[in-house]
Amino acid sequence: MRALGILARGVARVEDVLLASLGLGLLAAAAAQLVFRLFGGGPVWLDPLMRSATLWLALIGALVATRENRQLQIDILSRHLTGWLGHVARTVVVLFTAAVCALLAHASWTLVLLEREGNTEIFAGVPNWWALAILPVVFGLMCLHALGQIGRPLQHEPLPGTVLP
Amino acid sequence: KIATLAPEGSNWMREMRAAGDAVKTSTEGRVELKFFPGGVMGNSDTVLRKIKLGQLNGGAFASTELTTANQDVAVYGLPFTFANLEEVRRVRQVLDPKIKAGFEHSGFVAAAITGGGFIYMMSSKPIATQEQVRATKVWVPEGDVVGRIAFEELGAPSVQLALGDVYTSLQTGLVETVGNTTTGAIAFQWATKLKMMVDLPVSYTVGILVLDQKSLAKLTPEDQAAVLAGIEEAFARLEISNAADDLATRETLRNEGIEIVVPAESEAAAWRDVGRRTVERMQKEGLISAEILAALNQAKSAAGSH
Amino acid sequence: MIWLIALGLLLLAFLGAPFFALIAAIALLGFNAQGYDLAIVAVEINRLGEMPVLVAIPLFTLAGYLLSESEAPKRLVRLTQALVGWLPGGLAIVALVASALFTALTGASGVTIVALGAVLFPALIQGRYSERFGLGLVTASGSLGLLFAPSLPLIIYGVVAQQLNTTPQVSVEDLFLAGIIPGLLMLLVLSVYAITQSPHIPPEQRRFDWRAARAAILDARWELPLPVLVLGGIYSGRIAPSEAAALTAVYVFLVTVVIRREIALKRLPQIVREAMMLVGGILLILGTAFALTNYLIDAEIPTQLFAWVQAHVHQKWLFLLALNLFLLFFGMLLEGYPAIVVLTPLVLPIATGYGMDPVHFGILFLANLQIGLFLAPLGMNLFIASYRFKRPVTEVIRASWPFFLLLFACALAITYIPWLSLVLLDR
Ligand code: NA
Ligand code: NA
Repeated sequence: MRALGILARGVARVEDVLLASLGLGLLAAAAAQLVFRLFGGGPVWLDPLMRSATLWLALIGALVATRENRQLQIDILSRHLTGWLGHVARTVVVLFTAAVCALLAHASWTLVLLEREGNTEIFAGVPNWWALAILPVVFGLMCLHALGQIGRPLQHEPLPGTVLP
Repeated sequence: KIATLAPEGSNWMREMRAAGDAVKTSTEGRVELKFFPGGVMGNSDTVLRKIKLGQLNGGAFASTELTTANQDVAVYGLPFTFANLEEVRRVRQVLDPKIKAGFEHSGFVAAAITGGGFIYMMSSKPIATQEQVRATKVWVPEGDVVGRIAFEELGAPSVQLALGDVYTSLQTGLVETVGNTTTGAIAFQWATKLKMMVDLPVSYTVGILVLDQKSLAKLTPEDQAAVLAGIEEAFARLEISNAADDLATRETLRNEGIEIVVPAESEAAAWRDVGRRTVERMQKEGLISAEILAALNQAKSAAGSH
Repeated sequence: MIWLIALGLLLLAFLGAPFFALIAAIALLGFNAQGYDLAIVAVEINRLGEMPVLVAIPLFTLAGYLLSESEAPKRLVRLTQALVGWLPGGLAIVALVASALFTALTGASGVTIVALGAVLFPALIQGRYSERFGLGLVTASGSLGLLFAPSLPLIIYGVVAQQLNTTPQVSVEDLFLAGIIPGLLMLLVLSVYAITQSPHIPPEQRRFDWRAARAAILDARWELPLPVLVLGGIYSGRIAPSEAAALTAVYVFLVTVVIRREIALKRLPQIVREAMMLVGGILLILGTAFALTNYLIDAEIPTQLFAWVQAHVHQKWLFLLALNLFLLFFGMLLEGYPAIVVLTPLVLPIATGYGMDPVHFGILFLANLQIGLFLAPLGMNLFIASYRFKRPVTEVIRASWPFFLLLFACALAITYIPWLSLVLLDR
């Protein structure tokens, strides 16, 4: 049980670091792109790389948001449900979210297999399915993160758009 | 279910819908073609995935979008290879069947190929000589390997952008030299931003409608034949109207104040040289097969002897 | 069966199921009913990595978060105060203009209330405006600015509308142009109202103070070029949205982190992580919405819906009125982004069927949605203001209803007068 906890914290740490690095990396790529656009030249893979980074950012950002229970949602009713009723409601929502994530993970795994067969490239030498592989990984983890919410105390988390330290 | 990037209301859609009606009549309603125009099903990669997954049964593509399914489709896009439409017509009589056959192992059936016309270089800057082209920012369609190699051979680094981003980029000066058919330059409203066109065909563009082999195999042989015939007839009509449009649109371009310059023979020879080097490199990098190149050269010399 | 599923999903929504899961569930059920491989949903989500304009979203959001974490909001208020604070109602106009600029840049109306409201609300009270007026203003201020470039909701609407193959095509650049006059109209109407509500200013304070203005301009010298660069670039057509985003993000990073050093390097990863969580939340919803839209198109539901509406609603004005109320209601119920991605594929084909221009529709759509954000009793911004300023929601509602009515009048004008949106376009 303790090993599982350590593993979970490790995964969370990796997600956080990856998310911040991808964000800063995209910023650096944007800066490089501006320089190239002003002075001409630049590698052909920069634009496709930035687009793939956007997909990765979106998915990992959503993954972290799921872990912290901060996805966009309506919470007018759940806010007023307390006691065992709130607990039941929370469990139902969590199971539903986990089921959807599991289906999405399976669906994207099928896509990755299909893409490996097709053998197309994003840019020189990088096969397309590498970029796609993020999909099943993220949805699989998202399913686990959703299930991790079971039994946690029901707390009202502010929406990410409104969060400031 | 067939997807295409061609917008509703275009020649393409009109003829394809006509094909749909013809097929419905000739199969007594057993087969209906349903079209999804304007890219609602996503870009070409997405459409190809959806065909494999069974949501769609086919798609109409520009030849450059099908290189993953059949490498040989790149042959008409080889730069500075064709001198005039007559030459293209004779070469296509030989090569079109070979290209269709090349789809055999890809899971697709190429129902019909239609000519979209010549692509010309156009620019918001003077581009009468290679030297002048080198001094501009050149656009190459995203994923267009041929174009990238060609401009590398010229010594002009290119900017890769999706077709839809070109108009804004011409406006902002991000790109200055672009390639398109005369019809395309007007349809995408680029003409208002351009000043000069070089009257030397860069490459030839074709549209190909491919169907999913498995879906087609589910029909009776008679219905299959009816579907293929309906699409083929529509594409033959398209070919004629595209050629007529191309002539008419030159006049429109002139009226937009675009100067159409005929390059000096020395310049044209230099461009053909760029074309030759591009083809050599593509062959060396395994981007085009020796067989189709041999067939192309044979067909070209046969066309020349006429 | 369909009704049972719909009821189940509605219940899950109210119990707090995430929007992305709800939208994905509908798409999965739909494709399953059509007998397709569910991998199509993954194909659609993957399109998030294929659209150049979407790269703008993380970049703009990052810029917005960095700005709101720096002292920029204070400087912005000080500057506008020095420039128009001496007018009757000037302070309130400052608050409105600053909020609009801030929301346009950050795209998240909640952030405006939280980050700028903290500066504006006390300033208004100090300027002897009534507490009720001040509270109403900061609540409503979260709904201004969404129509100005480079607001994210405009970009998202553009992206979704492009999936629907309208004639004429919708471009993000056109939307940016179309939003200018409607956005200014909303600002103007609230400014006039602010003047009527302003406290009496002694004549000696009604002077433009050159020295204060100069000092404020000097103080904001690094931030000032930003709106000029970005808005000037976009509106003049010199730079594309994705380039504007790169420029904004890099510029803001240089100013806040390197030049002013108001954000310590140590805090940077945490801020980036917060910003990217919001981006992930929005983009995953957009990705699942691609799948939903694709299912709707495949099953020809918009066409059927249009036929049904056309059979029941014969007059265009009646349709428009129904549209107003419908959008207000959903703007209140759903937060902005889910409302945009779910409603656009359903309602836009109907609107174009009634002969509306898709760009005009986009502007009226967002105008209605944005004021729905503080429509009683469930609008999101009411709760954010209540939480931020520690006032009961009922008090926030009482304070903000005059603002709501005025903006509703603007939304009606924007709906019924297409000219306001389309005059700046070459149509
Ligand atoms: Na919400
Ligand atoms: Na605002």
